[in-house]
Amino acid sequence: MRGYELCLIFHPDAGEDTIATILQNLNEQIKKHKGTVTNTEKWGKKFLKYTIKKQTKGIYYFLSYMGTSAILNEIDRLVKFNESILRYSTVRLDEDEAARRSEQANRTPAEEPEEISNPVTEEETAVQPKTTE
Amino acid sequence: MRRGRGQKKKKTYYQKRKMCRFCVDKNLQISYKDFNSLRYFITERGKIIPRRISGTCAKHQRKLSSAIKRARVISIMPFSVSTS
Ligand SMILES: [Zn+2]
Repeated sequence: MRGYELCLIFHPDAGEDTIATILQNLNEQIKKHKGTVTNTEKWGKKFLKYTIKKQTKGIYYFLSYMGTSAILNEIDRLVKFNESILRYSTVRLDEDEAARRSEQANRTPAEEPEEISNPVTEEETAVQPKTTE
Repeated sequence: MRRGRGQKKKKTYYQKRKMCRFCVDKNLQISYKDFNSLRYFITERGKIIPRRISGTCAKHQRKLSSAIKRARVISIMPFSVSTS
């Protein structure tokens, strides 16, 4: 078992329902392969640093989980040709990081809503023009 | 051009040398998700600043560069910034 983190960037016009169903599917697949989701992070709509599929914004989600590499193929299958997903990437967490995530998940479930309550980080908007000029 | 005898200049250069930030402050984490901590290690054009300039040690520069590259993939950091 290893710790992984999946980053999903959804199309800015993707509805909440479509996002929810995709996330639910992913959760089910991870469970089916005897993995456990340790943390879900929602960043909300953010400016991209470069356009992906002609979009300048994307909706960010991060999903950390423990599992085997078989899950990666399953995620590929689910996500690859989905039009409401601009980009996805999986990163392997080192052991300390993975432990920290699962600790967080067990200890503070109250912390998650806080992150959701400020979805759009407008700081990024201010930074953007500076870099493009 | 008038230039002083080089010795003193050299001394100040070595004293100015930066220490690795991540070694000095052990609480600083390198995370590919944290744009605001990675932004100090790229140029205006988006290139990774070499460690001979930033002063980062080899171990942390390795982690830093892979974090920046990961951040680029998920569009948190730019691959390049065009200035025109
Ligand atoms: Zn260091």
